[in-house]
Amino acid sequence: MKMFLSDSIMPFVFYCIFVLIIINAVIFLATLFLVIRQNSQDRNYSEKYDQIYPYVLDYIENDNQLDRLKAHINYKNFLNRKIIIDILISYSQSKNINLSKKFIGLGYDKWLLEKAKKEKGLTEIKMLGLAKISGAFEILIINVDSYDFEIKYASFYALSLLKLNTQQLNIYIKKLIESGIQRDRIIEMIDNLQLDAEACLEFLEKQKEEKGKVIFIRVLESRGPLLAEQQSDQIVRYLKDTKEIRISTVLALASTKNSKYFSILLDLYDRENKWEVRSAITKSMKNFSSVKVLDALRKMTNDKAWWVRFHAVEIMARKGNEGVEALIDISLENNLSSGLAYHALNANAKVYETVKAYKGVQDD
Amino acid sequence: MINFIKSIINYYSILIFLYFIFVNIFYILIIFVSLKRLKAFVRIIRADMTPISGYTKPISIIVPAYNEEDTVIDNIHSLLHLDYPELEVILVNDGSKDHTLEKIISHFQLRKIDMELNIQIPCELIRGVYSSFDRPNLVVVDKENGGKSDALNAGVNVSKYPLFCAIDADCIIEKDALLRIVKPFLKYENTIAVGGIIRIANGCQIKNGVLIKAGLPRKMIERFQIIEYLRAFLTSRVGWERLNSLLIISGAFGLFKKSAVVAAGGYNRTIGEDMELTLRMHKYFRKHRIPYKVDFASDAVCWTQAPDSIQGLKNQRIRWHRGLVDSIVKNKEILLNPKYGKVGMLAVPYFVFIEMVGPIVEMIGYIIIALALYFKLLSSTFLYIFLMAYMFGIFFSFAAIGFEQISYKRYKGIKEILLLFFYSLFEQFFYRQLTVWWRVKSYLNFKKGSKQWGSIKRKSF
Repeated sequence: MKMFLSDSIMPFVFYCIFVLIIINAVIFLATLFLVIRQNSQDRNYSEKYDQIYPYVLDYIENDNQLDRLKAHINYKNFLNRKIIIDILISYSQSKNINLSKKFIGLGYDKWLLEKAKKEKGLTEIKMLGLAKISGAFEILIINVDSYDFEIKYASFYALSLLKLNTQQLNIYIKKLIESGIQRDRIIEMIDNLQLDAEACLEFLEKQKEEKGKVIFIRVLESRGPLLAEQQSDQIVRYLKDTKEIRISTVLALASTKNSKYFSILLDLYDRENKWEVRSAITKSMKNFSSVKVLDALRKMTNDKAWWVRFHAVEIMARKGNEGVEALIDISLENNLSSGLAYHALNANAKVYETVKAYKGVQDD
Repeated sequence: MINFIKSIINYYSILIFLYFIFVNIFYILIIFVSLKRLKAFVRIIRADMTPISGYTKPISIIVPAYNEEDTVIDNIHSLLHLDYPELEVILVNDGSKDHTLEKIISHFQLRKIDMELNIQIPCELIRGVYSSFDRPNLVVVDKENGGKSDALNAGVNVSKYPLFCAIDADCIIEKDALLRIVKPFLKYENTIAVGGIIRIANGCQIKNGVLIKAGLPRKMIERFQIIEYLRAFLTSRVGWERLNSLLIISGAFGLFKKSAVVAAGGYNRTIGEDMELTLRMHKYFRKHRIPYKVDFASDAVCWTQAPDSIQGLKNQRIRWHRGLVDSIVKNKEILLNPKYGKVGMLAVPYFVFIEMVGPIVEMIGYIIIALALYFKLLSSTFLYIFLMAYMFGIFFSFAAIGFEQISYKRYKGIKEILLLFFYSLFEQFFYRQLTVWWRVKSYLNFKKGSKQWGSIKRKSF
């Protein structure tokens, strides 16, 4: 050790020791400071929250209580403002109502917009979205082109919570469809916009790419039985499109529970060579209650694709006594679905209890 | 002879000094990357406004169990009460010799069911599958003993959902942990695996399988482990995730895309099955040039029991190190292979030259010190160098505690924070040397090493 350590190494060692002592001391003190500060902030927040909450609640329920709130609470104070915003946002989320006017009444909309313009952070984006500040569109639409995926994603999501006019909607949806965001999230965001079916159909019409078409058909699917027949008729032609579009269309038509589409879907099943589409058709049978459904499901239990047979058996098991009887027949036959039918029966509680009781009688 | 020994001491001192500088520079860089990523991540989760939507992906939770009769019921209850829209819990009894299976069947009133199994990954014989009408989302698989990896593969074969979450039977995950760990799968199309953070349950208040309050345990050995875990997760894994080179998704709590795991061949029968699988998934996706992402959700928390005895800790550390070496050896073609990008050129070399080789270098260093002491070659300069090494060690621990406070603040009291800092000062003495010795020892028994379950004495929560 003596031989190795020349004078050139020791200054480095001393320097490291000195720097590390300082750094460690700084980390220690900074951490303690953070803990003390956080505990103090939590206590203050909690105390003030209890004080402010009744006034804010009154204001939410009655606009006339605004002056009372302003008289009793210094609503421009940093902490008080934070608490009031938290209460308003939490209330609007829990009751699913738009409280943007309450923010405007307090002048918080201007404050939020200025803060978002300056800081462009995720917290600001979140507040603009949840507070549903209408003037936020201009700020958020710039953020959707950000290279930072999180800023982009949060901005798209926040925009989906706002009430957008037609022009804004067109810009937003075009950018959203072209963004790299996962399809399911896009569907969720478009759902947030609460577009009516006519608007969805108009957007669907404009889509040139598969992704866009699938998205809007899936959005229509969520409307389910609320979709009027003349509206759902407009998507039947998509049953001739690509595989993914066909699947989405099958699910959307089935969700209307309109028996008119039962035979259309069966026709498609007969000529369809993609098992994924046939599987979707099979699954869609749960939405129909026609007498012919069981016959259709029986036919599907002979499909060459395992998933089609599996879904056919599963849906049959949910079709009451007739479904169970059909499964018993299939389980006794020697075909592709016998094993599946047997397992489905075994998993059926009523069947199990009946067989158990029957065995008990036999043993007696 | 003495001159010969002196020259060995001299040259080894140079080597160890350079190695020490290299290792610490690397640690410092990883810490800075971790700090940046952690701050960004905390901002993301605090600003998250996505509520639960109908588009959450369903999850199969797979819990391999071997001789877990003391804790398994609590564990299953806590899993069934998780906040998640759609999940199934698959408890795989891996040929337990105690009453694990009987206790579960009796407590939950399960019955044996016929089930069509889709065996995608080979595993030992599955003797029976149990479920009930009252709890159709609880499935118990009874199989021949084959080890933890084999049990996980059996669980994958039985699972019906596209994502599966591997959890240890002695762990408790927080109610919203699944909601947090699934987020990368909902946001990024290419996600194939996400790891959660493991925290130590010793000293915490837990009731009916739910964590009430985090706290510090009484024993020194447990407190040291808390500091180690904070270092491992907050100052290291966060950084590796940022580089898309995270090599370990903890077996205690990790969420995987089933198709990705099946494509990579499932779990291998090895001690460090968690690291080995993650490494193999990196290898598979990079080899086939498929874009992918391995993520780390540091806000998705799993609480585990840490060993509270020297023997328990020893068994664990020997098993971990064997697992590390085994994983690297099985996937050695990745090492310094540019075809595997950052994983091959950065992450795997780190684990080889620092995590694997480091304990050996350090142990030889202690022997050299002993020799130097014996031959009266030590001087005050040695003390300064030791002090420098010690201060570096303190820095990494302090940084971890600091990171905890800027992020999740689980330990809220001043007293707890001061205790963590205090114990950091002593971790470098004896505890560190003990763990280094065990890691070296794991090489000595490597060939004889058991590839079965490791065990620590479980205690009820």
